[in-house]
Amino acid sequence: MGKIKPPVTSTNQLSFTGLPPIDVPFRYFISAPLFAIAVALMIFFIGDHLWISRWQSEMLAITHAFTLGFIASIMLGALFQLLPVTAGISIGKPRLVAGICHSLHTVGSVLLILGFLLNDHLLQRMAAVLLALGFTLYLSIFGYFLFKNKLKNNSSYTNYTLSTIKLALLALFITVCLGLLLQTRVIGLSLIVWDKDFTNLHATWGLNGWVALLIMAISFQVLPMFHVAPEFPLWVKRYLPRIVFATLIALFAAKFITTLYFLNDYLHYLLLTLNCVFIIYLLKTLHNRKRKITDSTVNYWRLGATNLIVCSLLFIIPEQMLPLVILQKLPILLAVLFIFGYVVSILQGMLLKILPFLVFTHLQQRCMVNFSAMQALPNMHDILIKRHGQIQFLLHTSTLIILLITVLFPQLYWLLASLLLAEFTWLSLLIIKAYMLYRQHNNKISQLL
Amino acid sequence: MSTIVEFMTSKHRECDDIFSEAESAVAKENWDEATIKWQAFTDELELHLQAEETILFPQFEQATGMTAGPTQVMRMEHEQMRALVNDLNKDLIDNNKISFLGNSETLMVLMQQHNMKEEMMLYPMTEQHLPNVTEVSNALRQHCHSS
Ligand SMILES: [Fe+2]
Ligand SMILES: [Fe+2]
Repeated sequence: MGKIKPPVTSTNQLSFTGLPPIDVPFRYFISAPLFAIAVALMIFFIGDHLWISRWQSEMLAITHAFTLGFIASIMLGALFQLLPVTAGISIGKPRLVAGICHSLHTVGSVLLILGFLLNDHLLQRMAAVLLALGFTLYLSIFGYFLFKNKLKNNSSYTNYTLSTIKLALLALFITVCLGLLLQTRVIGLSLIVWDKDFTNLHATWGLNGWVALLIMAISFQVLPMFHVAPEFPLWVKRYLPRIVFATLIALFAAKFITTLYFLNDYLHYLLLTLNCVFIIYLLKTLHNRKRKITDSTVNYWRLGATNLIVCSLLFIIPEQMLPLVILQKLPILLAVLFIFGYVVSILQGMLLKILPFLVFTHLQQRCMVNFSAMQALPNMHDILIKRHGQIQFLLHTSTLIILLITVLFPQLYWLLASLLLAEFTWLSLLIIKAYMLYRQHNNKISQLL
Repeated sequence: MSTIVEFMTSKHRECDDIFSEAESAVAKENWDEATIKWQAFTDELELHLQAEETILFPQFEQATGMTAGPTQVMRMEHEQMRALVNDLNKDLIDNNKISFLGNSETLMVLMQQHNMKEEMMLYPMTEQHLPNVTEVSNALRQHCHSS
């Protein structure tokens, strides 16, 4: 087996191998499930009084552990890889950028969660500073490279994944600003009137903006790619993300212009409807996929879609038609369906594809220099064993069901805590195992060179 | 007259489609159908890879002066695909479903990220730099439909 001459890649002209080192996304992926494990412990030790209201500081600790600690970490880490793969844009000095941003994000999130949990304003203030620094750095660096690429790239090819990622990052920026404004209250600087509407704005921009838009962006790309599904209709890719974004902006108008306040509820209906339009097209695309092989990722897509639809129905049904036991817990139920049922399901489904994809692609790129090393490479199913993915899916589904029941009957909290612990410990193991496999094969390849 | 980008992209999709049919047949352990579909896929893929290696890449190299860059990477990835196709041929002969599906998922990933680089960068760049787009486009068509 002869060695093929290594390529002299001109990465400055074409970021053909512009993948960041694999530890860049993996540092985010490894730390993310630890936050969910912390949630399991909090639920266990706080006990059943946690589930009374969404506004308790303990509930704030838990939602932020999930959204900032788990969801945002996965997404921030994945973007380092997604941009080079889907748009040919790579972030300069990725190890340094990720090292600083990830540290600020993780330490900031931990302090914020502790700050909420202990009702400690000093901790909350320190957290706000670290998170603000981390997000500002992340967003300005990503913004810079996206802008630079725009100047360079004058091809007529329109990349809707890229344009939607940009909107998602913009929504993240606004989410962070709103979060920081909310935090100014703890330093006695009441820049805004602190009320539920503002908290809702922050949550809506985060969930319907940053998170939902990023899910759209990624699915536009990965469904055709991994499942040989048809493309989404052009209008969905082109207009839907923009309409979502415009609706989010309209929420500000409803908040600040008193005469428009009546629009507030309708705008929220509209946002959920738009998400449902997306998810129905997603199900249709998935149904028409050519690659009929069913894997856990496909099941996760379906589970996520079902939860989003149930969440929207629950939101739209007139309140008098709901039984009291549900009505009392409606805000928490909606949040659970959207965050844990929709977002976390989709994220786990994507992780099951992204983990082996990353490990394989990085190893494969290394084999360019030595073709014979290729034969020793693990295949996708060696990196993430299919059955292990199925176990993850089963654990997640069980946790979700028990979570919904616990919201209504809080005395089951101990079962929920145990299932959460099992689910995210298993996810941690899958992530670490994939990473170890990479290291092991990477060393093997190095020895061959 | 469709351009190089459109034509070659449509060829990628065709390959994906036949590939999926072969893979589904293996998943159902319908080995006779799998063998026919797999043969059709490998023929189509080989024609496509050759069209790039013998027609498109040399034109790109000539037009841009980049001989050691992107096309070299693409050629090596072609070799990696061929190696995986070889493994898959063996799995098919052995009727080894588990190994086939692991390797086919891997080939899929390799092909998709390769195709994306071509569709997003290499093909558009070729079109931008070539003085004779129509001529090259016709040559590619002829080659891909030669069997
Ligand atoms: Fe190619
Ligand atoms: Fe190609």
